[in-house]
Order: sequence, then structure tokens, then C-alpha cells
Amino acid sequence: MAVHPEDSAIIERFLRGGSAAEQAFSLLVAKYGETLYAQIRRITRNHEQTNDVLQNVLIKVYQNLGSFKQDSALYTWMYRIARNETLNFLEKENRRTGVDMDDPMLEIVAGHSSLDDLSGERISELLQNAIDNLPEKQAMVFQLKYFDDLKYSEISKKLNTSEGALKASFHHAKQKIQEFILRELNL
Amino acid sequence: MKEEKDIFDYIQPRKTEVPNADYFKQLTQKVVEEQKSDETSKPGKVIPLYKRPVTWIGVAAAAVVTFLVINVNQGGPEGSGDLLAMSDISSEEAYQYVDEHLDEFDTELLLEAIPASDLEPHEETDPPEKKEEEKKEEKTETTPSTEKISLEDIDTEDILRYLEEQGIDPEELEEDEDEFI
Repeated sequence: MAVHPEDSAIIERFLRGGSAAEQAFSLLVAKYGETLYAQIRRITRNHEQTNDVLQNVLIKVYQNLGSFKQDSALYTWMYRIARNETLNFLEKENRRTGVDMDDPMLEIVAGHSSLDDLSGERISELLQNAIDNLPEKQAMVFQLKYFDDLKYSEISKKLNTSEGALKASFHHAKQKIQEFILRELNL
Repeated sequence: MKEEKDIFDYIQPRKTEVPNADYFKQLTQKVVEEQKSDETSKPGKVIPLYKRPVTWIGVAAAAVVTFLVINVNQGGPEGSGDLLAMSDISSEEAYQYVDEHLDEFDTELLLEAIPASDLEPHEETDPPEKKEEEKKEEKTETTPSTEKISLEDIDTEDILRYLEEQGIDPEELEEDEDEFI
């Protein structure tokens, strides 16, 4: 998966150094900051920790963008950094530090006999575990589509992948998640 | 009854709250400023004192020099004749040597390794005589002034290596461990 031409231009600008690098970095954050933030916050469930993690992520991006090999989409690379930083952060910090936690990322719509007995917390936990078990690309596509509600055309630009491939990826991701959750619920 | 299997029909994602554009602009600025200040204020690699090889060589040198000075004043057995010959000039020249090569020594560790009474006179006009008097006083004690010098932290191998470099045969040194230490 090669880097999208727009991202290539950002990287090229960054490599010039000085004010060009700062501008490139600003463009990068403007383009991907929200998505990264949302990805992190779905796990940390509060702004304070998300802010800390995102800062760490952006620092790592800044420090390593010059050596990014461009053998994957730029967002894929940053997604990986964000995921690792979030998990490392949570390992070190107690997730519940007395700050207000966000509501669970899912709410249950009544009607499914097995899900009606579950809390939003529990189903959210099951979903997160299911996502963690997906291949990286499917996990990314699923989150961008399901949670961020991006259009396939937008995801296609981010991941430099065809819309057809994205649709297939999303479909497979949903299937695997469903199987995982039903298995966990012994259904 | 058809088993409901498609769970996605029964769960709804909550929209994740995301800050406005200003937040990201400020965060970007913060990261860039931090990287700039890291680059400009990057200190040279700090090597702890105890890891500097020159420090240990200096301490070993100071310890050996002091030992030689002590031996001169205590009068060793016959076997240490060569050492004594060498040490005929050791008091004054030992200090001179240290003084000339002071840059190679870590001053702080020198101060720790050598008694203050030995150092202060050296900075003044007559160190050797005063030092000899002090050594004579200590002569009667069972443990020499080296007792004040902490050699515990000096690796024996460093000392032996230094002696070798200086052409001093360790075999010819005082065998009495108490006096040596």
C-alpha cells in the first residue's frame, strides 16, 4: 500500500526542514488529528488521557516522519503509533483516575434477546476485544466506517485503497466481529 | 422463531466527542516548540564521573603516588630498594607530576582520594616538609595515612595496569597488605 500523493507531498515538504517542516506537520495534524484523537478517546474514554496520549503520538510522528519508509499509507503508520501509545499509556496509568469517563462507545437497541441483558459497558468491551482481534487493516477500516462514519471515498484517500476493497474489508470485519461476540456470549 | 443474529442491528455507536480545530492547532504548536527546544538545548552526552576512564586512571595514579610517598618515609624492607631509589624524588616530584597532569585527573575524586593535609600544602610554598612531618607522626601508628585514602572503590586491575604503564614492578612493592592499604 503506497502513500497517497497528497501525503507524499506533505512528507516531502517535511523533509525540507525548518519552517517547511512545521507547515507540513500542521497540515498533517489538521488532516488526521481528529481521527487519531477519536481513535484514542474510544479507548481512554476521557479527554485528559487522550490529550496526553495524542501529544506523545504527535511527538513520535514528528521525530520519525523523516525516516518513514512509505511502505504503507501514512495514516496506517500513525494509526499503529497511536494504538501502541494508547495501550502503553493505559498499562502504566490506571484507566480510572477519578476523571469523568465517557459513556460507553456503544448503546444497545432493544430487541435482541441475548443483548438485552447486557450493559453498554459490556457490549462495548466485547466489541473492543473483537476489534483487537482483527487484522490491522480491517480494524482501521471498521473504525473509520463504523465509528467515524466516513464515506468510502474519504477512507480511500486516507488508506490509499480502492473503495471496492474497502467495502469488502468492512463487510469481513463486521462478520468476524459478530462471530466473536456471539461466541463470547455462547450463542 | 428466527434467531436474531445480526447484532449490528441492535447496537448503536455513540459519537466520540472531538475538540474543535483550535485545540489541534495549539497542540501542533506545542509539539513543534518542544521539538525545537529539544534540538537547541540538546546537551552533550553526560558521562557519569565513575564511568570516565581518565577519572579512574587519575585516582589510581594519585593512590600510587601517595603510596610511593608513604613508602619513602616509612622505609621498607630491603627488597624495596629500587622503589626507594625511585622515591627519592617522589615527594616533590610526585606532587609536581600531579600538578603538571592535573587536567587528566578528576579534581573532585583526587580530593577524596588524597587527604586534605596533603593537598593544601602542595598548593602553598612548602608542601613536602610539612607532609613529611605528618608522615613521621603517622609512622608510629599501625595503619598509615592511606587509611584516610579510600581505595576501596579503586579496582585492583586499574592500579596494576597503571603500575605496568609506569614501568613499576608490582612484585617489588611492599608486600605488607596493611601498609599498602
